[in-house]
Amino acid sequence: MRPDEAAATVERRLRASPARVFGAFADAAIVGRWLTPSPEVALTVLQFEFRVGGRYRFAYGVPGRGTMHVNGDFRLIEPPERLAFAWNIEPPDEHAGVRSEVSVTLRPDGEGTHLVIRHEYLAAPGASRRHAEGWNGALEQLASLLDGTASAQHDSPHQEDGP
Amino acid sequence: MQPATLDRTFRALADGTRRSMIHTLASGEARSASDLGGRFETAQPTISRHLKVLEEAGLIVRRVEGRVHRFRLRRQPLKDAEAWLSRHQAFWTGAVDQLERLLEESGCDAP
Repeated sequence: MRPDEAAATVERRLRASPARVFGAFADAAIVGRWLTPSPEVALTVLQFEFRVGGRYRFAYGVPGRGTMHVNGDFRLIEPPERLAFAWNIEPPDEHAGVRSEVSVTLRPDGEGTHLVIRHEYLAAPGASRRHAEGWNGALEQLASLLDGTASAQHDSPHQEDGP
Repeated sequence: MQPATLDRTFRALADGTRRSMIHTLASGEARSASDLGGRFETAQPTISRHLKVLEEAGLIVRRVEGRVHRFRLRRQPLKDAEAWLSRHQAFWTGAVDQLERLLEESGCDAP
């Protein structure tokens, strides 16, 4: 993982083969049963074209807050290892218009799977990503900036031995 | 909050020197450019450039006192960036919890 942008990352070891886990991302009926932040938030899959360039659209029923829509296109489909799709939250959500992308990586781990989901903030078109020199996309780091608890060494130039 | 604002915040934070300046300002005290640049073996124009990026991103405000420029942290852009990150962190943590449960439930009838 190249630390170059702001991203939320979740890692988990799952007791299922990569093929089964991948399958849970590839089928609209299965996706509808889990791809929500909590069991109280219901997902209705409005569109699901599972191919590179194909589009999806989700409706999330959030109790007390109405419906939130998310759409995007599939950018990468390499079963059973990798999957990437755009994630666009639709208006009137406060984060509508923010470009972001979700990458899913599945690696065999014994009889199970090591799953990594990385949800990356993408700068607006025209922003040069090459000039961003290493924002270590960690939430903790930002939180520590906010509360001022970060130690000075956190960011000081520090050379490790080695290449 | 506008996406363009988030863009500026994340881009401003994409640099170690600038993050370090933010850390220094996180105590809440106003600091001069030389306070902020003192920790780095960096030329003054470079320090000024970093400060300008932070200023344009709305992460710091500048106050001119005679010949000394003092800078103070503005927390709102940091909070907005954190809100975006924590929202998605929470979303995927919850989703993976549910995926895990689903895979366990349907354990026996799958390949």
